[in-house]
Amino acid sequence: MEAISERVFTEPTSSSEAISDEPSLLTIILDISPLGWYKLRDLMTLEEMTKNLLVFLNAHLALNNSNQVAFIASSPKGSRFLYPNPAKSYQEVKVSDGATSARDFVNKGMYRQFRIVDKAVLEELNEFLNEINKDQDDTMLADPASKLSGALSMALTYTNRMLTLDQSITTTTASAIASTTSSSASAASSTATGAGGASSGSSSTSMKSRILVVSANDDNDVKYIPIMNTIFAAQKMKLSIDIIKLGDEENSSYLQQPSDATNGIYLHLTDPRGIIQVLSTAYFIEPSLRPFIILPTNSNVNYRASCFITGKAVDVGYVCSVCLCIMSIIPDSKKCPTCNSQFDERIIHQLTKEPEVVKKKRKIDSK
Amino acid sequence: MSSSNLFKATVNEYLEGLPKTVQSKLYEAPATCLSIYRLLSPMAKFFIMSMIFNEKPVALRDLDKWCMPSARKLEYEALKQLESLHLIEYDSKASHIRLHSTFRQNFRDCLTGSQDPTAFGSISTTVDKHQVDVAFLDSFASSKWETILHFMVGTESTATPSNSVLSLLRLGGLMEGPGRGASNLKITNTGFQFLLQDVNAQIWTLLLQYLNLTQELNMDPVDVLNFIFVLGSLELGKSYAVSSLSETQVSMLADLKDYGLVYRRTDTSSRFYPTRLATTLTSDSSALKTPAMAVEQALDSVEGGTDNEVSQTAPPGNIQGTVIIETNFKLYAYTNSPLEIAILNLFVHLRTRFANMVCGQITRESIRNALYNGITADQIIRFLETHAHPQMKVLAKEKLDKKIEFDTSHNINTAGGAPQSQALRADGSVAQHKLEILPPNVVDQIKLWQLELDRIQTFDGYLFKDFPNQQEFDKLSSYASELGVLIWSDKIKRKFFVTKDGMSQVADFANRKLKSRGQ
Repeated sequence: MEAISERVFTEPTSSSEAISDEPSLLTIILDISPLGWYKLRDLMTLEEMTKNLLVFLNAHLALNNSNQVAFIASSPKGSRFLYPNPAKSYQEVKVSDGATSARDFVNKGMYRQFRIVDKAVLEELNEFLNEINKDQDDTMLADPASKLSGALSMALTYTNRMLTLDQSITTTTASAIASTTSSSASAASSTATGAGGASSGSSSTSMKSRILVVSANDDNDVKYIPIMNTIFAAQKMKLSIDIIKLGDEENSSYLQQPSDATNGIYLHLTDPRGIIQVLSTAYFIEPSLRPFIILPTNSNVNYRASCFITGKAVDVGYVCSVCLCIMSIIPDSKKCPTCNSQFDERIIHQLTKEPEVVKKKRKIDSK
Repeated sequence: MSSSNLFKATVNEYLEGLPKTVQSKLYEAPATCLSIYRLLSPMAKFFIMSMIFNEKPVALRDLDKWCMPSARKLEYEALKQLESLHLIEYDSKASHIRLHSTFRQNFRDCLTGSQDPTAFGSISTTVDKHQVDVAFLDSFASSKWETILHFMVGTESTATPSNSVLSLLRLGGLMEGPGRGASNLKITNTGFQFLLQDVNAQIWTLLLQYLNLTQELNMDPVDVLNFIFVLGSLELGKSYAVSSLSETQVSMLADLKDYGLVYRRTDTSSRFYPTRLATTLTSDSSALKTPAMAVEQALDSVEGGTDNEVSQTAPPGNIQGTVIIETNFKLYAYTNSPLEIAILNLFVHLRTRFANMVCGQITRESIRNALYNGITADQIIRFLETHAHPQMKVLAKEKLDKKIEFDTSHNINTAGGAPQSQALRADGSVAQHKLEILPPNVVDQIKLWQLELDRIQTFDGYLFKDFPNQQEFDKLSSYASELGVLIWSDKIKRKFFVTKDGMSQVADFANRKLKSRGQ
């Protein structure tokens, strides 16, 4: 052997398992606000979109046997978990095959995991839509704004629960991952649980998660502050929020920001036909793959903020020096609307000075 | 994790070794497509998914663009895997790839739910007079499986498994011995390794042996494999009609019953029930139990039942971990399950045995013995971790909490408040603190003892040398290291060594570069 100098010895076997094949949780939030979908009526119906999303869910479940999904519908009336629904036992859904109340889409011979999820989502969605139709009186007209932030919070709480709580609880709420995996998981966790809850350390790291938001809504319906709060929560939980924006309005900056801040994907689709191709490519990047794949996302994000008082977008505005609250006007009370701190009279006076004051100043200077 | 990869690797290896015609036939069954898909690496899964709803062939260059430069190696491995399974086909110029058309069609149908309704087994429509429940199936499966394990360890007073199982054990080199009698069989080193794997890996080991056997019996491997993969997607606790199976598959039922994978009341019954062992065949093994745990759980589930000698071998209600290890390498195991003690005996120097516990010492000799038997340090550590006593876990958790608390109070960057760009990068920062169930010094020492044994490693490969200039050397060697096939390089002598698999890639690259220079 020659002198040992300048040698590089790499073990080819050591680094080969760079990607871990961990189970992951996918939460889909579908915004079913009627207004947005009405605008898209020529291109795609809500039903078609749901079908595409179900195929996407199936694909996610196909990735790994222990993968989990959740589906949330968000409407102006509120948001609701379509799947998993804690009030329902999915064993029942399974047995009642004879009823065939679900659509043709759900084939009886479909793979078990897929069938249970797809059926539950379709049934619940129908129920939800019917409910909305029934009392379509004033509640909706009064506040047509989307409840997206609420849905996001629901998704986050659910994710948090799945991530930190012990797997046995997971399996009781989301018993969907039918008998086989659930009970073997609970068997595994029962060993892990050991002395009551001591196991969360090991199970909390094993699951990855992400959220996909599909929205056809206008920009100004989205509430800025709650969305920002969910972004911070998501950042802390290290989950990505992916966003699909449908419709032909310009890019929605409030929807862009969550995905940008959480390493998610934002795409604006003017034509949603053939969306499954987009779903299966751009939106199919698992959290464990994210470090290795260049995300198809837009780099110039509009970090526009909105006024805390009027809720409108601001380009140039005032900022509270204590809590950084953003305002487009100075409140009459001369107090910060968020932290209630008193603004300095002199500064307010300076800020509200008329332009002619400036003229005077110049005169003084010239003298 | 290592063992789940292990079983995936062995199954993949087997599948990759099949001739193309057999593979193509395999892809005709949707259940098989789904199972094979699950066995692929994450990157390969992503590639397939990106092609599945795409009618046109995909340019290789586009795939390159998807991947970060640092992930070149993963991309290369994924493509290689797909190619050897013939899931992708290159066009004539090797610039575009397309998916295997049958696979694509079937997998797509599977996702959209438009496949043949019986693809995932046909549930018997009639009511079974002898209905069995999940608990029964579980106990049936574990008692069958446990019989095999106990037989291997040589526990006395256990039943001898059937002949087909014995021949499999012999074929797989797990047990050996003169003559045909069961009593002459002795466990081999591979057999010891086998015992430390988790159930899933064990079943696959046997099934792969079974596949080899069926080929000798002129059974169609496609039929056999399809049935195995379908089994993995069946529903536990449901009965399935035998009538929808092919002749080969019906003949398999008897063998599979011997392994505890399916339950059939009689050999002429028109229905069969898959057991948990079968339905978790293609799932993540992290959700599964290790043999001793499985056995103990089975014992637990039999508790109320009237299963004969099983319930006597170990006390029920003892599913949790039992092993305590101290930093002085002393080990206490609160168990009297013969299987667990036998496994512990593989790598622990057991000293005393009491009514409900055994004590022992982990020594260099005991670990070396295990290592000589082909058991790896990782296997030992994993076994100890999964079987650790709850009290050890509580202790470890407390320690971890304290560490995290300390870090957050001293503002050392761990999980929270870190800048997002950093925090999301490969989340290495999260894993900064790991739950250390076992005393770290013991873990390290076991690993060191293993390293003592592998001082020399050998690799097959090719040497590149005689480069005309440094630049060329740099280019090629950096390309090879990007692919992850570089094993050794010497800058001054301008030589480097690549693995066997990487040779063609690097040579292609070299030819391309040299040619472009010539022009």
